[in-house]
Formats: sequence, C-alpha cells, structure tokens
Amino acid sequence: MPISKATRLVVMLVVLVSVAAGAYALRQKPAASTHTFTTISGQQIALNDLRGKIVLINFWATSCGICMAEMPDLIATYRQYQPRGLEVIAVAMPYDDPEQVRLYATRQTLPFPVVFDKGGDLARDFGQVKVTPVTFIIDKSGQRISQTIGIINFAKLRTYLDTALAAAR
Amino acid sequence: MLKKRCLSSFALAAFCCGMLQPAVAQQSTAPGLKNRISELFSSKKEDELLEPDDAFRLKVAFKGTNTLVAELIPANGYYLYKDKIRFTIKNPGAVTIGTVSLPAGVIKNDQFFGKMETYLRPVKVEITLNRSPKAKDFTLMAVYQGCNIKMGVCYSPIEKSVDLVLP
Repeated sequence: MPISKATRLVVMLVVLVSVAAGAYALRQKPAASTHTFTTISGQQIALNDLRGKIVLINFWATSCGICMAEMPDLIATYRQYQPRGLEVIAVAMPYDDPEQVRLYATRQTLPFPVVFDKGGDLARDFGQVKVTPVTFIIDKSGQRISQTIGIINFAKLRTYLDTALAAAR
Repeated sequence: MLKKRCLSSFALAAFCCGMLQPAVAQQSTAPGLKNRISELFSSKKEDELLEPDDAFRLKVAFKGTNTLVAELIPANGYYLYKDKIRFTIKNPGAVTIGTVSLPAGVIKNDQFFGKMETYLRPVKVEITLNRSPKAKDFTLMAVYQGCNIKMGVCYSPIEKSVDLVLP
C-alpha cells in the first residue's frame, strides 16, 4: 500500500521529536553525591570514597514504626550484600533524640554506620526529606539514582543488587 | 521498505526514550531508569504525599476571654499522634497556659510501638489561659506530628507559631 507524503512527514517528525526527547533525557543526570557523613561513633564517611560500591542511604527515626519494622530486613540485606560491594548508611532525622538513636543502634547491634543528622543538613541536601522512611540508592559512579518513600520492597531490592553488583563498574 | 525503515526508526526512538531498556540490567542514570528503579524498591505505588501544611492544618480561635480552641485537621488518609501534640506560649509572661484538654483518640495498634492514641478526624483542643489584666497579645506555639495511613510514612514534627490578640 503506498504511503502518502503527509504520513511520511508525520512519521519523520515523530521520530525526530522522540530521538531529541530521548537524547535530552539521557543527558539529564542527577548531580553526583559528594556528601560526608559523621557517624554517631565519630567516623567520617565521604561518599566519594565509596565510588565503585552501591550505597543505600536510609533516613529513619526511632519514633517511626515502619522504619523500625524494616530495620531487620535492612540488616539482613546489608549482611548478604556488603561483601559484594553494598554499603548502607542509616541517617536518623534531626528531630530524633540522639540518645535514643545511640541506644537503638547498640541494642540492635546495627552492623552499618549510623549517623545523627544534627541540624538537618543531610535531610535538606537530599531534597528536603520530610517523611520517614526515605531510602536513596547511589550507584557505583556516585550518582543518586533512586528515592523510595515508604517501606522498601526488599525482594525487588535484592533482584536489583544481584544484577548491579555483578556488573562491571 | 519504508515500513521497515519506519519500524527501525521507531525502535531507535523508543530506545532513546528508555522504553526498551531492561529494567535492572543497566546502570544508566536517565530519569526513565531512575523512575523504574524507584518503582522497583517500593512496596506500594507511591501516591503523591501532601505537603506537611496541607496534610495537617491548624486553626485557632478564642472561646470566651480565657480559653483558646486549637483545631488540628488531618487530611483524609492522614492521622495525628495524640502524644506528639504540644502547646506552649512563646516568652510566657503576662499570659501562660493553664490546662490543655485533648479529647480521647482512636487506638491504633502499631506493629512496633503497640497501642497508640491517634486522631483521624479534626480534633478540637481546649487551652485555658492565665492572663494578667495588662496582657494584650501573645504567641502560641504548637507542635504536632502525624503519618500517612496508606504509605505508612510519618512526617517530621510540625512547628507553628500563631500571633494572637486577647479579646
């Protein structure tokens, strides 16, 4: 069936617009994360030093029920994937009681670094974190690639980690 | 021939738009993949969460000369924790708070904290004031905190100050 000139023109226009949109989208990379975290034990962790690893940053609070509920899965995921290149940083919200944070971290023997976001700089810098839990994933190149609001689906996270940690940097 | 060319052009365009990317195999930082990964880690569909001031509203009015009624209004699908509600007077002097009466709330069985008293509907809090005869105005400070039911997320405590002129 012959294709009219008009149809050809429309198809070409659609293709051009789609290619331009795709190219634009691919160029819009989120800024690389360059934060430095100070843990409740005084350790300094610079995100730049974690390049080549996948970093999970979890904003939480001791007053947040579902944050507490997901903590055992977060611990298990960390234990399973840390040897393969996963790092987890748990950031307690600025309104939390630092003593409660310390107490919880000790009682639960949290295996990953715990940070108290005194002053709220981290919550602000990560796009105004206003609720908990919120979890960010930073890829091997240091790009913040994901923000999950609410409880994490750990089955899906493990599927992602299996693939992403196996991939070359 | 043209059809074939159109199809391959469409495939290229679709790829550029992220439609043909494998869900988790690539570490591209394109927004399309970002969204897909974000969906991958969510247990529930991420609804738009309201801004804190829209999720929980505060109205204050006088009831007589010595009583304030502060109405806390959670939006539909949100609730407030009774034990996270606080009222104080900024720089108390000529005006101080006498009593704060919070009505009974609805008991929520939290899987981690156990029984918590909550408000799913607007709640009126009666605040009695002690005032000196010379008192004219004051600032009421309110702190409250609540959560979204569907997603289970909790907001940071909200702090509000309300300037009031005594009747």
